[in-house]
Amino acid sequence: MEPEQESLLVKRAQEDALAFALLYDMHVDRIYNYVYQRTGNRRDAEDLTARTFVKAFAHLSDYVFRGVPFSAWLYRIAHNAVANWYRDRRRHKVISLDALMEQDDGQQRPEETTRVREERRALIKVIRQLAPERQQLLILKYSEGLTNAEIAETMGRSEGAIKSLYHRTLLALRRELQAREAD
Amino acid sequence: MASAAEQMSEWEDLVGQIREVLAPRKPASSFRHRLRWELLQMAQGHPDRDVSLAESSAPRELIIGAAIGSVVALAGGIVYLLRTREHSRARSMADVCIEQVTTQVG
Repeated sequence: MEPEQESLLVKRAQEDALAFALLYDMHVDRIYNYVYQRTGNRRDAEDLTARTFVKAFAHLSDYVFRGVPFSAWLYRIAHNAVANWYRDRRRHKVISLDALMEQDDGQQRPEETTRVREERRALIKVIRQLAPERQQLLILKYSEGLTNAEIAETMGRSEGAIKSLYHRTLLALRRELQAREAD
Repeated sequence: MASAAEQMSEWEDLVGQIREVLAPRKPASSFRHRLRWELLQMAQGHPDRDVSLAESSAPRELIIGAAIGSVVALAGGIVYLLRTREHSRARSMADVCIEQVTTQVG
């Protein structure tokens, strides 16, 4: 859906609160996915998704369409909710590796070797230790399938800045993985 | 020194792995429906839904347990109060009887 069309839906929801359900239906999967990839477990992902939509609902009247998709606004709320979650609970320091790997549940293939599993495990761990904006970029690009232009809109940056951040993120990831292999 | 082709292949491998570990995840349909219902309740002006969502991180079992505990404690208090009253009434009745008996004997 084009941002202009979506803005009409938002306007309708601002006038009729029940129409918010349509916006919810359009965006709940991607917001949940974003939060899940950041937290690594279902329970917190559900809690933070709920908080994101409750906050969006409560502040919908503040939203002003400026040519940026409504999803960018929702992602920003979700991103802040995750940041608060990390800050308040300091889970980034105590989060267990099992929790980090929960996302493999039901996805493990029997033919997958121990080595491949270990590599995946190491990669998830390294990704979760990246700076929040780098994690956000990788999730939007590879999990949500957004283009660089869409990521730029969502993150409030220029497309050039996103390309540069992406390049630096991949270099940092590879460097960290190589350092782990060397240990 | 790795050739350009080898380097390209390494990057492609890394990107492939990232795609794999960040494979999209969908919410459980029960969660999806519940949250939608709660948002609709809020939209219809039931402010209590707001509180329920804000507190959704607290374990539900804990809340139910605390509620049951409070009810049991309250019931216990009432039973204790009634028994104490009954007991003191019985005692005062006994005192009166004893007094009467003592008077009659005297």
